Order: sequence, then C-alpha cells, then structure tokens
Amino acid sequence: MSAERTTPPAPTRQCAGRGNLTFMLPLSAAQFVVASELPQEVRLEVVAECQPNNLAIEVTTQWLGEARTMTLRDDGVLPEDRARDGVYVGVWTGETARSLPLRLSISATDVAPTEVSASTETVAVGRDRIVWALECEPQWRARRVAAALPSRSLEMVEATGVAATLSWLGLILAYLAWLLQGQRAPAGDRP
Amino acid sequence: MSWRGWWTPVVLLAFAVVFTWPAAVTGDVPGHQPDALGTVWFLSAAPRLLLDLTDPLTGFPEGARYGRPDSFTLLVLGQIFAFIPAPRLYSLLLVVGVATSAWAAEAFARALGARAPWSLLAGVAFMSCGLASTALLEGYGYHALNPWLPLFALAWLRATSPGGTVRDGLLAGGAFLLALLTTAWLGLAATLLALGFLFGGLFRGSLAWRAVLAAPAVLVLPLAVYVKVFIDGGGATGSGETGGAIAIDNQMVMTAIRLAGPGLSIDVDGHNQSAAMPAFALALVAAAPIALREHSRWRTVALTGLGAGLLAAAPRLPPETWSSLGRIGELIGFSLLRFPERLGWAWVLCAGAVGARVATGLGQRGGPAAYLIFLVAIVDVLLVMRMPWRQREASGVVPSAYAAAEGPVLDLWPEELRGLPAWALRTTNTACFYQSAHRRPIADHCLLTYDAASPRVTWSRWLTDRLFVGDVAAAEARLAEVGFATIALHGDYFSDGDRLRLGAALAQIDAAPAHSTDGGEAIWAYAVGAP
Repeated sequence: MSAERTTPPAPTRQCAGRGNLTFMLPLSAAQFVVASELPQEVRLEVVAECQPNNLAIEVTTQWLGEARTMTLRDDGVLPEDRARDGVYVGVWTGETARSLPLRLSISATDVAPTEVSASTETVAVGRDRIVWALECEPQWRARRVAAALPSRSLEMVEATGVAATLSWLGLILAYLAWLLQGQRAPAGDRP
Repeated sequence: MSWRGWWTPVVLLAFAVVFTWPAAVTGDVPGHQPDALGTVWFLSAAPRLLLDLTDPLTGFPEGARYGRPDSFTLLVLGQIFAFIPAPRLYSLLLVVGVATSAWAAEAFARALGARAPWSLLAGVAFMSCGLASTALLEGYGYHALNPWLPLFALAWLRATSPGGTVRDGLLAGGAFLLALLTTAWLGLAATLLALGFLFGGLFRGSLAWRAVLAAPAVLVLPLAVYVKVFIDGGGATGSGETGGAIAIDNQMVMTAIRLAGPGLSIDVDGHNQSAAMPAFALALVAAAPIALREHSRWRTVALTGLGAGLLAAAPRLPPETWSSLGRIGELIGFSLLRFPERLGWAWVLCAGAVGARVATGLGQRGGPAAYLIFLVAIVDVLLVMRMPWRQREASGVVPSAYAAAEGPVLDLWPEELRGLPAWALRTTNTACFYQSAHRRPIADHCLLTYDAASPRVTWSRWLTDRLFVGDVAAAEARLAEVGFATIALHGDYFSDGDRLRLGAALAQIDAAPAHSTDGGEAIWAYAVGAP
C-alpha cells in the first residue's frame, strides 16, 4: 500500500482539528452520545468470477485528500479471508470519510491493465464493506454486489432467503392453526 | 399478573430504541442515503422557513422559496426544538416517532377489541414494516413520525360506528390534517381509511351522521390553505414520473420483490425500498376469518386495509393514461403517486390491528402456548426485517474549513457526466447539511426534485469552465460582485487532472486556502477577493 499527498498544492491554512463545526451538544447529552471519533475501516472485496493467470487487482482512491493505492490479495492473511478462494481482499483505515472515489483496475498474464470500475461510494461511519463481482464476459467489468459470493451462489442465497421467508410464514400459519384448533371464535368483538 | 397501562409505552419505547438503533445514542446521522442529511438541514432551517417558506441562506444570491415542502409537521417540530442540534433532533425524532406511532397503533387495536399485551403486536407490526424501515434507512424519518394515521383510524372508526359522537368526528378531522401535514402520502393513506370505514358504516346502515360530518367541518379551511400553498408552491412542477412507462409485468416483479422480506442485495444500490409486512401480522390477519367469525367492524377494517394494500401493489398506468386526464391527471399520476407502495401504510395499520384482535382471542383461550407469538414477532423484526442490522450512519461532523471565513459559499463539486440524479442529490444534501452548521449562505436549493438542477450546479459549471479556460480574474470579479466570499473545493471527488488544474487556477484567487480534513471530506476554502 502506498500513500502520497496530492493537489491542490500547499501552502494552505490548516483549520484546527476535528469538531470545529460539530453541532455542540449539552454536556449531559454528550455523555450518552457515541460520536464518530473512532477510525474508519473500509474493507474492499472482489469476487473474481474469472481467474486468469497472475490476476492482480488494484484499487485507488482519494481519502481525505490523500491519494491511496492498494493491491487486493487472496492470500488468507486478513481476517475472514481464505487463501485462494477467489475473493481478493484489502482493508483501508483512516479518519472518517463520507464517500470514496474508487477506481478498480486489473491486470493478468493475458489481460492488459484495464479499469473495470469507477464509482464514488458512500461509506458508513465505523466499519463498512464494499464488494464487487469481477466478470469477464462480455467484457471485463466489476459490478457492486451484496456479498463476496460467486454470482450463482449469491442468486441461491437470495432465492433461499425468499424461500425461508415463505417457509417462516407457513410455520406461523401452522402454529396459529394449531392454536385455533378446537377453539371457538371469541364473542363480543365489536369495538 | 395483570397488565399495567404504563407498561405499554415503556415496552414500545424499548422496541423503538432497538428498531432505530443507534439513533438513541449517536451523534452522527442515521441513514443509508443522503436524504437523511437533507432532512437534518430542513430541521435546522425550520425557524427561517416557518413564516413564509422562503430562505435567504440557500439558493444564494436570490434566496430560495420552498413552497411545497414534504412535511409541515417537521417545520413546526424544528422550530419548537430549535435548541437541540439538528442531527441530534433528527435521531431523537426517529426514536420518538417510532415509539409514539406504535403506541397509537396499539390504541387503535384496543379500539377494535384487542387487549394488552396482545395489542402491542399491532404497534410492533405497524412500525416494523418495510415502509418504516425504508423511511429510517433512506433518510426521511418523518414518515415514521406517524401517530396521526392510527389516531385518525381510531377516531374515525368510532365516528362511523353506532354511537359515534361529534367529538370523535372532530378528533378524526384533526388527526387527518396532521397526517396530511406530516407527508402527503399519509394524507392519501388516511383518505383510503376514511372511505373504507365510511362505506363500512353505510353498508351496515348505522352511521352517526353528526359525528361523520364533524370531521370535514374541521378540515375545510385548513385543506383550502394547504391546497393554496401547494399550488402556489408549483403544484406538480418538476416531478418526472416514469414508473408507468415500465412494462406492467416488470412492475409486478419489482412489487413482488418489495413485498418479500428485504433480501441481501436490497441495500447495495441507491435505494433501500421494501414494502414487506411482518410475517406474524400477515399470518394473524389471515387467520381472522376463522378466529373472528362473528360479524363486526373488524371486517370493515380488514377489507379497507386489504383495498389499500392492493392499491399500493397495483401497477402504475402508462403516462398517456394520466395525460389524457389533463392537469389533474398529471398531478395525481405523475407527481403524487410516484411511490404508490406508501399507500401500504393503511394496510399495515389495519392488518396489525386485526391481527392483534385475533391474537387477543387466541391468548384468552390458547394458554401459555399463545405467548409464543411474541417470540415470533421478535424473530420477525430482528431476523426477517433485519432491523436494526441494516442501518448505518454518516458523519455528523461538518468540515471546519467553512469556519475560516464568513459570507456566502460556492461549493465546487464535479458533475456526474451521465447526469444520474443520485449524485446531484448527494452533493446537494451534503452541502445543505454543512450549511445547517456553518450557517453561511450557499448556492444550493435544498429541496430538489429528481429532474431539477440546483442553482449551485449552474454556478459551479460556469466557474469550472472559466477556471479551465484561464479566465480566473474575471470569474473572481463576477463572484465578488454577486457576493460570494468563499469557493469550497471538494477536491476528493475530482479526477487527478481536474483537481490539479482547478487547484492551480484557484491558487490565483487565494494562494493560501483554508484546508480541513475533518467532517469526512478534504475541503479547500478559497477566499474570493483575498488581498
């Protein structure tokens, strides 16, 4: 991971640290408030549907005026990452950012360096996770998805979710039917 | 052990705290979408807007007129609670809104014959539905500040029942008005309830006409003022409904997805829309024909809710259909009904109340096994609707670079070349959120419709062009003449090349701009007319 300072160029007048314009709270209320003082952690994941030889995935951004570049890895070093499972992972941390302009590019033995995604993503306070699925047909591109799963598996998870919801409804209906069995309807239900 | 009355609000407040978490404790802004930031601005601007809906601090230099705000109730609340910082007020309103709305729905269920603690299920069903979670996630939390719809249903049900009193009618009229003033959608949902309950009373031939006529008596004058303000504010101008242009089978697929529980992918793109009904409420209302066999008002309530639910799920007609109705068609079809699933508020309210009535009967006869339904409701909220797990927050801090000077600010963001409205809304809502803290005039118009450009976009497009062609001195002179004191460059979002060129050009205006990286952005604030 590398970092460098970019434009607009110095000199600038640095404004005093955090909270200059924070909405001031009464002390009693502030004691119960969890403000965004913790560092932000943004986890980037790319599910590679196609895996050409020597696939390298690189992400660039501007994080609070600082240019950052990171190579995502599939070596199992980061928490929740399994080596060589096709999910490339990287984590950025820093002071809280609202949105990150993210450019995702790939290269491989038989693939010239290609930008596969460019977007500005809103990132949440605290921890956030941004996931793409890298596709090679009909052309190389990365699209935002909900979870780091191959598209077939993701579709299965979504379908399973719907099936589970319907089953859950059926289960509740069966439970109510069991309760209703042998009961008479209550009388006097007029408002 | 008998249920004590004060336990009900306490339990529902606890439910609200969990459902809206972390709103009760956070200093940031809960919500997925930047609409939450815009709502915070609206609260902060309430004291300026309340008198005549104009704001000299936005839309600079002309100022802005907000003739058609979505919520007048929010204006009043913003004024009353102006002493609370706007982000904090917004968060607190989420908690209080969910709690009071659930409590009111619980009272409606009791009016229908439900008994505590079973009546709690009506409140939980009402405020854990997909529409409620969508409002909290997308950032228009005032939709969840909705005790008025259940209170209207309660009073109107009484007014249209035998023995209804003028007081019931007056209360119904007042609650209807408050629902309408909270958001027009709730007014439309209340209208469906009004018609359904009225037809139910007529069908039974037992209407108390004096009670029924008392409601419109309350409404006539305020409604006339509301309509006048609405028309003066531009009516349906700037809407841009395209939903009816989508093929009906595709619309039905999208509706089915929204009605199902929120799937894994629901929060990935720019919306978090769900219209799902909690499964426990759906199952309970489905059991009503068996559990509540005797004829009573529950049928009126259930059928009215079902009618509203069907309308909410119905496909939208093609634009030509509405156009053929002229101006009124455009108003109803193009503007007011952009999100018809919101009519579903009436459905979840009625279904929840009838469901609570069913649960009461089951509880009275089913013994301890019936209490399992509360566990089912908890599982529904936490695991099926997935709240509060889906919630997230944006920073509540505002960049301190704005505090380096005084006077009007021109925010300079890049434009989204594809013209997608989401970017324009994001930048505008963010600039307006910043304005709520720095209090300096800005060029943005803070209540935008999807197809209207903010004046700030026009200004920044002009300035960027002038800076790129090297006409820096003339541009600065023009900005100074208009009165802009600062150009705030949101440098993170420009491409490297544009940022370099803009930085170099702006350095000719102010060689030492104020700079900050707090508030979630790197901002360079260049003083216009600096020596």
